[in-house]
Amino acid sequence: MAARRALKAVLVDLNGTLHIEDAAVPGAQEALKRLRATSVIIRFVTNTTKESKQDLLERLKKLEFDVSEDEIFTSLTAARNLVEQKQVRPMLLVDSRALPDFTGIQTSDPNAVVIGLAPEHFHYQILNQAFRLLLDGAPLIAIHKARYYKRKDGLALGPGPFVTALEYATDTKAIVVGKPEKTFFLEALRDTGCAPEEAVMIGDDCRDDVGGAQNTGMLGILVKTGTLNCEMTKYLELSIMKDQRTRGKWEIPSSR
Amino acid sequence: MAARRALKAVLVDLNGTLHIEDAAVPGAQEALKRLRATSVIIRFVTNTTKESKQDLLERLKKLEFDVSEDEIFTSLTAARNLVEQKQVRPMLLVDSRALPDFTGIQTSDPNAVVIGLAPEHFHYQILNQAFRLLLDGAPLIAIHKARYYKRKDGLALGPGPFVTALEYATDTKAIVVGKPEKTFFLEALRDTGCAPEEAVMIGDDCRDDVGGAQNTGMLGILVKTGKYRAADEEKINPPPYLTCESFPHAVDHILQHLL
Repeated sequence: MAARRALKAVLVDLNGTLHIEDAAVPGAQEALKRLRATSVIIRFVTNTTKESKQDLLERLKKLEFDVSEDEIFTSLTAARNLVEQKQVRPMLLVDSRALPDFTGIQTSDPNAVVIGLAPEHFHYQILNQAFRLLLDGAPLIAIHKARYYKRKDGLALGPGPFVTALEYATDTKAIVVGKPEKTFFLEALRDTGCAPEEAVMIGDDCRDDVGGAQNTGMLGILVKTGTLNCEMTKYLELSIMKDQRTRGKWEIPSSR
Repeated sequence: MAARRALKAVLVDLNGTLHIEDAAVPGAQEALKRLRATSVIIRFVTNTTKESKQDLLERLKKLEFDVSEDEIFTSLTAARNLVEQKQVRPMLLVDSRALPDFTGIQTSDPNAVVIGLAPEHFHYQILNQAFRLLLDGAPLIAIHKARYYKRKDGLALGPGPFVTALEYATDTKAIVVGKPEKTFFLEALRDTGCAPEEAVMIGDDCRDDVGGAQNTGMLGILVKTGKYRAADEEKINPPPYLTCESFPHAVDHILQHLL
């Protein structure tokens, strides 16, 4: 196994890591400045299906984080890149607020389906249209497959169930572009010129951020802000024990 | 393996076997009469998510089949039986035409989800309600999991994808009550007092009718009407006990060899 090379890139999760909703994690702006004083390339990465890069940038600036738009890489970016690579015309089942990230992409006479968290599109007629495109051979691109997410009024279905529904109906598999997929991390690193072995990911989601990054060959740092809980700590211990690269190199937090 | 006992019950599929849409299979009414002249108990079984027993009975009577309502067993019946067994109050995501088969079942303050082919209910808000019930531990009962079905304007999503969506969201498995599930056949036989080894199933769907029945310990007779396509009988293992032209031929075989 290749020895680790010098660190050249740092990927940072946004919500839960740099900030919690509309409040910055205490000391985070300062910490970011200190990181920038080094030579590492920084990318801010997040799974989102409804926030355009512009939205994210505005929130970060409001919280006084020094970030530029081309340092932001989201699952929407990943989806757009894939659509361009495949040269397809997608039926976009995404939140209208995500559409700015698809500017310039042809959507008439679709021959692909891109699906994010879009409750307003998740009804029988629209899903049936997507189903028929898929039967004709259109690729199914999923921004991510989250089972559910937290809303003010409780848990609510994520895009995952609807992706799974279409996969089942057509007996095909979606291409998932968001965390924890390898492609997400590789794409995020692509324009940095850095290999995974030269990068570290910092995030609060054990499976999606740290697990996904480590599967790609990066180091993963799990922060105890955001969504971490006991179940995930145990999962982390298991994944660290399985991952030879990190055994003995990092302090394994004791479960709480 | 237990030796087969005498034949005591015959399960007969409806659409594709006894009739094709609104036309009876030639000779089928007569064959049914001959079967009734014996001592076997007969059940008419079908997967449906939108036809109540009353609807099915009316169609059969119009086609001059001598059938009574309590001889009909559908996937809706199976779902209802399960709801009663479990003593739950279901959120019914079923076609409104199926509701008569749930008369008498409590549905307020639901603690179970029953899901059939119900496009009018398959939108985010309703599915989210179902999702939350399941998170609270409610069982998910699926009438069946067909991926799609044929409509006049082309193929359309069946209930299967939506069941799968909820299974995925909650990391649980639905209890599927329709063919080819074992429970369907066992339930169909339950009030006949017959064991699977004493029963035979006649149907046109190799996997769902014959395969499902044989998995339960019954004999399966595949008829070449309805959705049968050449070489279907090679698709299941073990193959059908018998493959024959149509329902009347199946009845002939039963009368000559199984009774």
